[in-house]
Amino acid sequence: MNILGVTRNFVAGSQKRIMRSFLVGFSLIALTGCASAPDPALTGGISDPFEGMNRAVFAFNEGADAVVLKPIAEGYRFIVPAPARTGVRNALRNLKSPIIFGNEILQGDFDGAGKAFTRAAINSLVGVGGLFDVAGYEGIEYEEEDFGQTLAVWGLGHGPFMIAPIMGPGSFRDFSGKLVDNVMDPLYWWLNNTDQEEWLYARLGTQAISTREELLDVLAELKMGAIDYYATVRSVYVQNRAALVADQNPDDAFFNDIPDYED
Amino acid sequence: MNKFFLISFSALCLAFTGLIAHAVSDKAYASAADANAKEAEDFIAQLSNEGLAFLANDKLSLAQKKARFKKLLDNKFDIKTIGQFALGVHWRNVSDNEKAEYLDLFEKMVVNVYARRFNEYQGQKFEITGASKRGKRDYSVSSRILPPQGQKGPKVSVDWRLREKNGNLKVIDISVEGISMIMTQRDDFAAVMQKGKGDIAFLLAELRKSN
Repeated sequence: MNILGVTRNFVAGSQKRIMRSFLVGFSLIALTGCASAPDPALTGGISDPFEGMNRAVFAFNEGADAVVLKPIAEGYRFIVPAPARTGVRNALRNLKSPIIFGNEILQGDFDGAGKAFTRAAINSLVGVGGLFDVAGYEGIEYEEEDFGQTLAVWGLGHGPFMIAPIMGPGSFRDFSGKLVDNVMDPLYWWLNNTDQEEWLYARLGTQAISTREELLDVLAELKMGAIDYYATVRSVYVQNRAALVADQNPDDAFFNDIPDYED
Repeated sequence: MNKFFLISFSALCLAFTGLIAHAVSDKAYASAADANAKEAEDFIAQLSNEGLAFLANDKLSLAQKKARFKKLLDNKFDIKTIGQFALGVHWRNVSDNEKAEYLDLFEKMVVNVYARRFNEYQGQKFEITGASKRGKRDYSVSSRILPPQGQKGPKVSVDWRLREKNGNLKVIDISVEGISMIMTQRDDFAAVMQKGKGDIAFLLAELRKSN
């Protein structure tokens, strides 16, 4: 029974506990989320019924970031030259190709799926295993896709806004999407089934450092420019996700309703 | 957390102050709306030229650059509409004096926020990619910021929203990779107003602190 074996492996995998605690957390939130009726107009276009808890986790993340992730990201930037960091980013993106391809198909974006496939093929073969974004230079640019976006394309709203420990901002929909992306990833299964889970952690860690390095300046600026940093991050998160979801029609994403005021 | 999130804010200032305006390809503007869209496009091209004039000028001190930037804001941006939108529902409950002080502090804050980034300009290129009429008197101009000549880096898409008032075009929003300045500002202020229990004095005090 291959499926049984796979399932057992999945459950016995080292990510088991993380996955389970997420699932439990999500069900709790789904239950309690129904009870309250927050006003999204006051909270950046997303409901935030757990704002108190979210702010506490946000503060914790800020603290952890300041002593761990940020210094590592700064060290990474200092030691590793820019072209090498770009190579790392390209390789990480290339590894995401199956997930992007799958989600494009699920969204009915076959053009996007074709691009994802072409990118993976060109960059893996010509781009030395994804280190060089050859396809990008040729105009086939990277497009970020995940199951959270797919759910949005299917018409699902965010649900409650959530700040997860270490992982940062997200929503019920988008964090659920992350779980599905994980399961959708052939690399996840292969590494798990061949007892090489350590590569999954290596990838996760590299991803975290690479992303944090990319965001060093942005987040510093964002924090300096904001009076309420939490509210600003929440706003930017929601807008960024909306822009990603609207990739097929950027016009929709941009035009917010700005009333015509009397003078 | 991704590239878009990253570049959106790192580019906001560059977008704001404008960079090298590239000649836009000659398009045939058939209808009257298109002719107005062309005006909006020219307006942004002009704005970016003016922005670059001080941004790339090494002889100017930071204070001088700030003064030029403020002038640009006063002339080309509809600070009142932006400020009013950012304050949301609270605008109605505020006295005229408080409104005036709020708008003044708000503009100062914008100047300070972007002034921190003046020195990040390193010859990036600015390119207008299109313009269209949106709604009764709004226009959208899309543009891109490209890395400096001979360098690699992400292209950042910047959308300008303009509104015509008394025959004059003014910028009312800038969106960088889908992140709108006016929306982000409103959400920030909304949280501050909530914390201050709807009292504008609390927000004004916060703004004074940051200026």
